[in-house]
Amino acid sequence: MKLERVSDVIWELGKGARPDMNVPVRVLADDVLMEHIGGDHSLEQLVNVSTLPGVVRVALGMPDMHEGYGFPVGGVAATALPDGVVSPGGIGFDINCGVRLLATPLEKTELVALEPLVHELSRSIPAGYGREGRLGLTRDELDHVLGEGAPWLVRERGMGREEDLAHIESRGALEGADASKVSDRAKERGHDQLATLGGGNHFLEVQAVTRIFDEDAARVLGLHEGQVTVLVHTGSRGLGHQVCTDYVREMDAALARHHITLPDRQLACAPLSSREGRDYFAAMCAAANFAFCNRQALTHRVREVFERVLGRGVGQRIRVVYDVAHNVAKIETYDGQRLCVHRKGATRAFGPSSPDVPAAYRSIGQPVLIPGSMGTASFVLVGTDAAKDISLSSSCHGAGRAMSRTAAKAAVTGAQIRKELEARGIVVRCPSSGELAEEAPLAYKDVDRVVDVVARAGVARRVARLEPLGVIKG
Amino acid sequence: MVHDTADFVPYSTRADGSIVIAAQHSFDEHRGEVRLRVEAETLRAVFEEAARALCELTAGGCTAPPDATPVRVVLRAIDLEALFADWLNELIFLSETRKEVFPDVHVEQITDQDVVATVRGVEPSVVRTPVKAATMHDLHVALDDGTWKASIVLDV
Repeated sequence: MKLERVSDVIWELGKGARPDMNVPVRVLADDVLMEHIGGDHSLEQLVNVSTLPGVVRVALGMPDMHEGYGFPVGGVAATALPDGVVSPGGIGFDINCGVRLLATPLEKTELVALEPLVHELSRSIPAGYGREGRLGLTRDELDHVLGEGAPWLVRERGMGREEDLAHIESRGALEGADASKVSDRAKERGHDQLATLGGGNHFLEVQAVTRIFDEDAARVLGLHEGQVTVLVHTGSRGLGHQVCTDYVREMDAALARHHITLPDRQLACAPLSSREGRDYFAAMCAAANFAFCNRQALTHRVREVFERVLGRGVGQRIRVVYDVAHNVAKIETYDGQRLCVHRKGATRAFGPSSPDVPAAYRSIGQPVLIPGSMGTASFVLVGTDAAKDISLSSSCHGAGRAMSRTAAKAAVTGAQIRKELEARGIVVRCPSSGELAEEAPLAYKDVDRVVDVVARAGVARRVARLEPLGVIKG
Repeated sequence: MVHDTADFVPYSTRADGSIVIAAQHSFDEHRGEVRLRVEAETLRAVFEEAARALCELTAGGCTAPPDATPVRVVLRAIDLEALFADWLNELIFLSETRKEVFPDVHVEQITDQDVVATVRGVEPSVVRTPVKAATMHDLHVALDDGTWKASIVLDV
């Protein structure tokens, strides 16, 4: 299957390329990233996505796309309501894995206590497998978290401020969430995991703004060069994983009843109008609310630690810049048509004219947060109105893996990575050398290149570049 | 179809006298996740070996103590491949909720749609690779030239 270049960084494959395709495939990439994409099965997986019942417009691959299971990571597809399908694999196991950016009142030059700060953050924020969040939620409270999201945590547990909510995607609560559609098994798996980072590629970074690309937009976001920021990357933990497992199983068993055949069983799906489809969507929204609460609880912890280590009211002056989901399905309207937009390893990128952009940011567009791989730069962008037609208002979510974990561990050791980061003055807290190696920068694509493609495609505009000062991983 | 549940034999001999190791597994390259491949003489052995492989992937080699509490696993699925995915997902669920891994596995009964087993676990001293779920992507369980072969992608 050969993609045709239709513009600078946009490639397309017509729907005639395979008889079962319902829509064409579009990939955002430059020549180097296209070569990466050609090196795994992600394009074939995207073609499989284009066969989903009810899929409309185009199946999209972001520049950081890589092979996943079912949907590729970095894949976007929309299905038309009411009978288009929803596919749990199109969101992923880590429902609402996402990123939150916090702005501190500090300058990098003021941060002389970096090592004790990172050390205290690593002590106060559970990271890694099996760590508990110590919130002591009752099952009833967990149901409130699932049903009401971050507003409940702020209101009932005092973990954050009302103004935080205005700067979270969907104000930290997805409409339609129903805790009763989340299984007891999922609740059992996740009940003690709120306020935890998890492991794998999840992290918390203390950063400094090293470059401003757009002074006006940066001013609106409250960012300036030299400012200290914190980036948190985590999701719905075991609760979200179990929700996905439960509903892939349920929908797989119901495919024949819905007269659906699929090229990949992990694409298991059901019409949004069906009982399975409605139940999954409600459970997915609930799991997404859990993840918003997770990042809200971690924000509270970050504020506490900054205050404890640095005093002077620093913690209380930490602001939420924005919080984005990169594994979620949302009901959105395109040219008057209501669509279920699946984003798996992709970030929403609404432009200034969208009413869903926070009022404070409506002059510039929705912030798009792109974390780099460990030790590399992260970026803040803002979405454009043009993204609607180019990419279903979607952008990349990170750098995207370029090699397997095994290959990464063969190429470099955790000790080498730790040494390299520390030689650059970056404070590292990660107990697992294996994980450091697996998440090494060489295992990922070049985030500068990925972001450059997004900008050249017209999907989002660069605002700021952030570089790590301290990294905490599970 | 009910599959043989006789006492597990670690190897067997072909007609030509060559030895066949009854169960083995490998982890294959995958860009973001891990593919597990298992081969064994019997379906029961495939399920047991897959469980041990999951334990090894998660926590390395470990042994359940003699006084470990047995946990009964009873599952039913629409077909054999779904059953295999359910089996590993059940062990992943039990691992995360009991904070254990399960190196000691005994499948008592297995059909194309049902499995009954007892597993005994141990708290791992270190977690190498937490596994989120077993996926249904490119999932195969089939008898091939006298050997049961299974392949499954794990989200890590």
